[in-house]
Amino acid sequence: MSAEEARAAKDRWALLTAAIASAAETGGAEIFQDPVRLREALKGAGAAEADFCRVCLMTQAAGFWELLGTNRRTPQADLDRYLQNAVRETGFTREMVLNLTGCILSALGGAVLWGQSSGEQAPWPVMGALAAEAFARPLQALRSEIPGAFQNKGRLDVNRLEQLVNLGIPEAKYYMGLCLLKGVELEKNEERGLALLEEASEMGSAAAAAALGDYYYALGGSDHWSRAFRYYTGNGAAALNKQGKNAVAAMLNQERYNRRILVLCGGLLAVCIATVLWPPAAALYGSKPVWGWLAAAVQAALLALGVVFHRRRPYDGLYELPVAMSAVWACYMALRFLT
Amino acid sequence: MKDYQDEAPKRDGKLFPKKNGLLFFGLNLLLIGPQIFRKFSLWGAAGAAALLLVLLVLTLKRANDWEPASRDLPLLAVFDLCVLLVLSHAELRGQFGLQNADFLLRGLRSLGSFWLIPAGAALCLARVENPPLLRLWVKALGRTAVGAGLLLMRWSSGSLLVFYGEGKRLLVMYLLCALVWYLLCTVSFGVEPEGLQRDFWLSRLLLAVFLVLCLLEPVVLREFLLRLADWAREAAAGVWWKTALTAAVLAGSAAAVYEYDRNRMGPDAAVLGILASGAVLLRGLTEWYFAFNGGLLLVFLVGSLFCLFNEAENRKTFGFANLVFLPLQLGALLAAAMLLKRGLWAMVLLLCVYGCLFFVLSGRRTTSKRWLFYWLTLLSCPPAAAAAYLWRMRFLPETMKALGAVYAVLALGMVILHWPHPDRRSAHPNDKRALCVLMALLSLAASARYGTAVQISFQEADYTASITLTARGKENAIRSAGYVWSGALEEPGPAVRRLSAGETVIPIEGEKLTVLVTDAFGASTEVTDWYPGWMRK
Repeated sequence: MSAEEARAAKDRWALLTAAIASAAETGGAEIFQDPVRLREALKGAGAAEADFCRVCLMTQAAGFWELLGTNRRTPQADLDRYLQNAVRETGFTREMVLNLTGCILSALGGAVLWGQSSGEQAPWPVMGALAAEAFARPLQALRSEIPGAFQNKGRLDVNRLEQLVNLGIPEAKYYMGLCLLKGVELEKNEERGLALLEEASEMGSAAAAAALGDYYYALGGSDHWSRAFRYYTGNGAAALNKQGKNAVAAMLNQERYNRRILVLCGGLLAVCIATVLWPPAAALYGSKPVWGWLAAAVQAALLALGVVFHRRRPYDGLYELPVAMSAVWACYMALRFLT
Repeated sequence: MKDYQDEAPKRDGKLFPKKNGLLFFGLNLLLIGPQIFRKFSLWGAAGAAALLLVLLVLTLKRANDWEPASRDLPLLAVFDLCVLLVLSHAELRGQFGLQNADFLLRGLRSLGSFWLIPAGAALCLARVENPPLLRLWVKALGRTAVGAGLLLMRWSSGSLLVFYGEGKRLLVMYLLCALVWYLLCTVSFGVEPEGLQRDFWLSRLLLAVFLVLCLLEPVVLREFLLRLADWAREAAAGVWWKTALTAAVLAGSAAAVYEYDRNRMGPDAAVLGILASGAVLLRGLTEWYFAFNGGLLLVFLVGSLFCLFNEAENRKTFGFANLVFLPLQLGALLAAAMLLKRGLWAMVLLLCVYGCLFFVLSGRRTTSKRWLFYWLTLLSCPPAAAAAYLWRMRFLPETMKALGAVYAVLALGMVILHWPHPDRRSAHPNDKRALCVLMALLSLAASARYGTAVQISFQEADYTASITLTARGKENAIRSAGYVWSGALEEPGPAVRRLSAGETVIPIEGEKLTVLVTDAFGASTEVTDWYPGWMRK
């Protein structure tokens, strides 16, 4: 296929997509069961007669309407069965079937969602998977554009990405989320970027979960690191890069290091108690055992607080603990020296 | 100086490039002006005015915007000397002659100090070319020796240590004048190395004038040197406000010639800054006098010249900006003088060692072990200083043990903060600083109790010293006390005279007074004070 032919096919396909979306918007799902109204709507939107025929054929393929109600637990099996039937019945290529189905379903998916009651679960995984298969080519193009866009070496077709996001494709959501999070080609919008990454992660995107892990890890602090750890070791485990692996190792190291600091602080407490039991220079400076034991009790309480704190926030530093314990002991010693 | 010239910005205006030169001229006028009024005579004043006019013309002619005006300091000094000679023209005319030159024959007979002249001449003729600074000081030593030899032949028995009349004071003043002159030459060399030959010629001229005066006008020379000695003593041991005013004028002048456009002091501002800090230091050294404060002065001179040379080359001094280094050096030397006066030499030595250690450690703290060593060293600084203080002022083995225990516990805290992290993270420096602050506070607390407060004051009128002893603490008392007088450079002898608590007045019998006290808890206190009689007469 020459470049001109490819461009013409692309334009025709874009026109048909818009026409189908317009028909679905005006007539809902019923319009695809009424060929007269469908023909008028598609023609009105500028689609060719051949395209109308293709859409009709597609909607009459066995299993098409059942797809909308498919349980999310068996999406791939339904999809495979439907694809086999449709290719056999319509005589279209597999790619054509995917493209047409994805396009119609995405147009209808919106309509279906609009009509749903709030408690019902939308068939998004199926829709997303279908749309992803249907839009494999644009996604492929996106995949090639993304690295360049992130390195400021190329441009990203944001409109197409937005379109794919609206179709519910997890991969597109992941890319869009990344772009919004980092302000690549789009104005930075962390809130929406995070929401998109969360959606993509829920839809099973390991890359999105890993990206969320990276994001929260970079923020620092125990809360964020805990979330990052959940993302890294949950969905995102399959997409951990070197940086992610290092982050997981760093978090595990930090937790272990904090435990060691607590043990060392226990040693410090023991030494401080020893200075109460055998006070240095007791002949000159009164040993003041009551104050000494009070200081030791405060130090022990601080240590206990440190342990509780570590349980709740395992990745936060505990460097203030030895300083605080030393300060309490210093108060006791100052009391001995000065009174 | 070529680099300096290359990087000099072009400035507009006719007077601006001469600003530094005019400022130095003005400051010199403030110095020499009072002498004109003090020894006023019509011819003398006219001659002095003519000389100062010539100096002003030379200043305006020579000054430009890239050469530092401080290069002309030797020239200013020569003109000042000429003004002083012109002011003494009547005495010079009246006593000119060889009638007092017979001392030469006496000197030749004894040969005790005569050898200084050929030795000095040999040094002057020695061919030392590099480095130029060494050449300058070798020749300085030679010329000074020649002058000193002649002076000793006139005012001593021929021996170096047996003087006639005020020979010792004259020799000291002569040596001080020579030192000041060659310091001015060094400053001039530092800011303009090309002017070294000119300074050599001026040095020869001054030596010739001195020799002529020594041979033909010894009375005038004697009076001149003694007057200078009185002036120097007055300036060094005068009231604080005069020192403060002098320092303020010099610092203000330094601020006026500061090279703001290049964000650096510049050699002229550095010279004025050094003079300002020198004035404060001299006053401080007389206030907190002790026998070896000349050593501190030497450290100041060497450090200041090093700083000036660095400023001329646009370099930092020991890692500090020169504007920071000068006040830092002054503060350190004043603190050292205060401590050394009380006999706390161990504390000064310790602080010097720590200073050197931190200087060596700076920039080398790359590994976690080195960082730990650095912070443990920093943590040990307050207890070590406290121990050095206590050792002299209220020594008790128990206090040392307590300080050791405090250091051990806080060092353990520091070790925990530096416990190696698998990802090489470390605690915030504020956590470590907090431990150091705790250490400093506990060291202070441990140093606050026991011992004896000793106050010593000298009454010049009746030539007595008053010693007040007060035991620290409510339940404390003085168990035994005594004092020893000794010479400035001598260690206190074993003959300790008894003292009682409260105030005791004793006659002054030496230059160094050592008071030894032990309190009821056994804390021994040793306080020294100095009575620099030569300075207070």
